[in-house]
Amino acid sequence: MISLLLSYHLNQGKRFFSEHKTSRIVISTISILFGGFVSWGLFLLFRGGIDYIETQDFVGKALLEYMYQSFFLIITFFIWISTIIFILFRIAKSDIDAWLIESPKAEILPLYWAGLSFIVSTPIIIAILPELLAAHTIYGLSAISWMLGILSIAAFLIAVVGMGLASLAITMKILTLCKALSLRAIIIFFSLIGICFLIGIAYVTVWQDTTQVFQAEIIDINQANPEQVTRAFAWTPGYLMAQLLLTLHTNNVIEATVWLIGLSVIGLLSFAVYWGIMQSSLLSLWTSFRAANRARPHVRKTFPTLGTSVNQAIAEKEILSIIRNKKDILWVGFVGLLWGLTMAMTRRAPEITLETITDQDRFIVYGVWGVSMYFTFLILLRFVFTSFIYDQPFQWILLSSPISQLKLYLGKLSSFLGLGTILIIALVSFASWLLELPLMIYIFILLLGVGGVFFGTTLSLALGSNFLKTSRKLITRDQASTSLPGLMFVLITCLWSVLAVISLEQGIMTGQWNAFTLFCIISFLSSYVFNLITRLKIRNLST
Amino acid sequence: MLRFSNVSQSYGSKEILHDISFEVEPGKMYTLIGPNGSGKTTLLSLAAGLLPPQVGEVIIGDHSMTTDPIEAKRLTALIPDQPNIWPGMTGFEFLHFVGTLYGMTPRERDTKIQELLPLFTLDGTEHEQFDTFSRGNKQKFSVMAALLHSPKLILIDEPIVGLDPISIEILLTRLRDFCNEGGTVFMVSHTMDVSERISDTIGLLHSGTLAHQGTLDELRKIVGDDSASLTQIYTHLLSI
Repeated sequence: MISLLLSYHLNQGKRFFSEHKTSRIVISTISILFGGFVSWGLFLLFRGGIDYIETQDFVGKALLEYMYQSFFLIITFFIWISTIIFILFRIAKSDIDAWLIESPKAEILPLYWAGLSFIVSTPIIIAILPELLAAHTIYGLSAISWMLGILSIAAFLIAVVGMGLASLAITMKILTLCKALSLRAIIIFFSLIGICFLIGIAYVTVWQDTTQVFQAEIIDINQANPEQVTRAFAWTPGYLMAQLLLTLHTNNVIEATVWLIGLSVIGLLSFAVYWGIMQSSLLSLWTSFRAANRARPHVRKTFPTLGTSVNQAIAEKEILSIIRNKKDILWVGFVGLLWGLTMAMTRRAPEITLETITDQDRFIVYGVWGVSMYFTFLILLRFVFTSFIYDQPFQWILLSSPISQLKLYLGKLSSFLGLGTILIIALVSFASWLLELPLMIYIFILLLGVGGVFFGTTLSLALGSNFLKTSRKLITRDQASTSLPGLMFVLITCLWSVLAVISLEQGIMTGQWNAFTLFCIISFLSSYVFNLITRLKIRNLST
Repeated sequence: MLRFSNVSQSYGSKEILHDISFEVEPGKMYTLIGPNGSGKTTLLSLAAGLLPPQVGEVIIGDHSMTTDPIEAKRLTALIPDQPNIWPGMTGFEFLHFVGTLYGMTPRERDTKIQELLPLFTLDGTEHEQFDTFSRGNKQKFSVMAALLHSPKLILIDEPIVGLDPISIEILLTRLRDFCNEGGTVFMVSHTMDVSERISDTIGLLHSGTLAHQGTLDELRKIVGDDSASLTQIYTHLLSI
């Protein structure tokens, strides 16, 4: 079965390049170059970061330990929750695995495991390989260390995906025994676990007295003791991977092998639990989910004002499409929790003013703004960029109605601009309140944020309008987000954010606001051009 | 009410429709039959404004679908083959949404929805989401959405697929009444017995051209059998 599916995917790849050969080769090359570009950036970041931290005599080792542990803690959480969301909705809602699940010979359990490990591998490889390369340029990794480093990526992925699958299997089994199995019960259960987990992370990273973590235990050496950090993170799931990579810095192959074995054992144990539970109960779980979906009508209180004007009807339709999709809401909640955690990790800065702002203060303000913008752009990528794709199966309603496509687009644009503005106001206001930023700085970053929403919304609709034609193959929101236009969106919005910060920094530092003014004008003109591009594509669709 | 003038349509280098010209009179029901891939759904899509005609013109009432599409679409309603509707919407919200697109006030929509809900005995299900609906119930809501704004022309792709026998009878009666009140129906179908029962005019589309059209009796004369069923006529004409 696995060989059959492998050959199917290989043939699918061949078929992809058999039509529109030149353009697809160009697209694939650009995607690879983009991945390489991100990796190169990360490599420079790692090399510069490790180099700098190593020069700090007092906190050097402990800070490096702290950074690695924090990074893998968040990465582990990210993969764990992604695994649960993906498989949960695959079992509960999707019909695409029906032929595999119903087959007496198909082995779907290892396929889920392998498929998910493969799906999450790209971002991890793009992140960890540059780290290994940076470590090599600084510490000079041996060939065996390299091999262990690469093996550790596979072991880490398999173990964390395994932990996600095993925890889902255990939860489903317990809820079945309690006769309380439902999609809602599982979502509530994992939301609670997620919140507890984040409180745990906050305990380690935010609320702990960092002066104690980084204090010198041995006065003679006059160095913060990294073991304090190690002890604080010892219970966290990213611990083994962080320790493994840190051990490779000293080419300590034996210790690194021990950590690798530890990761592998976790992977094997998770697989045993997942296999043991799911092999006997997957079919019944799958069937009962479907029966529940069919039998229980989702009776809703009608949306309060549905449509007194076309614009209002479009806005409400877009909101309904988001809030009545459990998977999307879970995704927003998950990303929102990460945003909240990042905010909580930023220290309070009560004395900042534009006149007396210090380097550290500016870093905090840019951090707050940057993270809030990133979260907003993620939301725009998932919902605004994909909105044309999402509407494809329902185009018969929109295209046959006596409303011009341009008016429908303007309804969409105004809805998303409104929602995006509300979102950025909420995020920046909450962050400013949490960090006690002064009013002037709050207004400044708020206006820049609203500008970002305009830029991001018009850009995402322009890129999303590539999927306007109904004859195109239907793709999901997840697939669209990782398509080339999706990657373009990420790249352009990152560039926009960097330019915003550089021009703002120049204004604050020198008092010369020419660059910032120019940036605002270019940003506004770009939004106008993106709007024209979308209009043009819509016009082409109807002629 | 509906007129196709020299309409041709291609997908890439493949011509789907070739120089189609015919007219459907007000108060009449016209059914287009033909093999899979003969261009029936493309022709219906042109009439509904889902596709712009590449060559020729589609006229609804006095309005061209090319130069005056908004006014043309105001007169029409579409019931598609696949009634895809936003899964997160309830039936009630969907009907309100469609009504808003056609410029109906909230009061007009409420009155019309309350009038239409008993048609298929769907009372009570209007506040359920579409992702829990059967295909048949989705189809019933798409029929109600089509009747909501009192159109002059109803365009239907496969009218009875997914409907139970009682609902089929209700729909056919309603369509007949609609025509008797001056409305026009243009539908494409593979269901020969239904087409035979309710159509005033039947057209046979073959390889992108309108091979034959006429009343059932006129088609019988063409095949030289006064008692031939539509299935027999269809088979005979295609084998020529």
